[in-house]
Amino acid sequence: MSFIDHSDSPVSSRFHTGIARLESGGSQRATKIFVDPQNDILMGMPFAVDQTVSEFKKHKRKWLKDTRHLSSPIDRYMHPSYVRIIGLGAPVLKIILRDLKAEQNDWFYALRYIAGTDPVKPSMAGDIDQMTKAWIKWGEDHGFI
Amino acid sequence: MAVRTTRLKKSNHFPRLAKKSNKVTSNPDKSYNCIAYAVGRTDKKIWPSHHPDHYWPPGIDRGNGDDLAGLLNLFASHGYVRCVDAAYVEGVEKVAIYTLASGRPTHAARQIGANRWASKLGEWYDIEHSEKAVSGGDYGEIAIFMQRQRPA
Repeated sequence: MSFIDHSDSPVSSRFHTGIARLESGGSQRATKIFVDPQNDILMGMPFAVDQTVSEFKKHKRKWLKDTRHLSSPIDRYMHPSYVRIIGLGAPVLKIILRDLKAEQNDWFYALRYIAGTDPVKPSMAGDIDQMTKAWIKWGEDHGFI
Repeated sequence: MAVRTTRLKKSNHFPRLAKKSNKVTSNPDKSYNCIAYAVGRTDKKIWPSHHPDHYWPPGIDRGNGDDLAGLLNLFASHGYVRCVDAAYVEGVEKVAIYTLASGRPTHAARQIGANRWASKLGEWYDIEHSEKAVSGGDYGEIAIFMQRQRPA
């Protein structure tokens, strides 16, 4: 466990903030803490740092390994890791769009569900280059890329 | 571009895939899938589902979207009719449609010779393989054979 002092941003004259970072089992969890220099840690508020990225990478790897040989959309999009990535919600949008731009992985279904929109026109269906361009433009227009 | 892998190994996905029974003929390509490859296209992913991510030719009934009906209609539109087996006949081109036990389609392969078939494995490789090589796992079993006169 490591501790990073953020004493330049005290929440009050009495407390200093810091981040305690714990890595375990391949995942990383950080806790924002408020420190009274005169005493012990007074309060911790758990929040995720890089957890969305690590979850995305972990599940992307498994999804690709398990479904790269499959064509059926049901099999590809209902894979537990793909569903898990959708479940990460809005915080994963930027990560997905960057991955789409870099590798053209099939995130179109996930993007539709998370973003609640679909910039892909029916005439682009099945054309991965055109679909990618449509989503990248959407990401740029909305400040994700 | 050189193909990096020459043969695929047996796996849980392809439990009947002996190394000697297949040959990789392309690098992975996300632009097309098995159905597109079976009908001779490498520019789009084709599937009868209602997901807007997949192309479906206009005017072809896609059935319920994820059953055999749509694929039968698609291959029929390319001149295929149902036939009984995988026997190789000179001048005839056959396709095999794979389904799970539930009847849900998973894959299609195109015959290229006696006990030789060509498949695009999802977004992965194009391979040549024997009739049974990619069945028995994630693709289920061959449910339907269709044939047409081989185009000149």
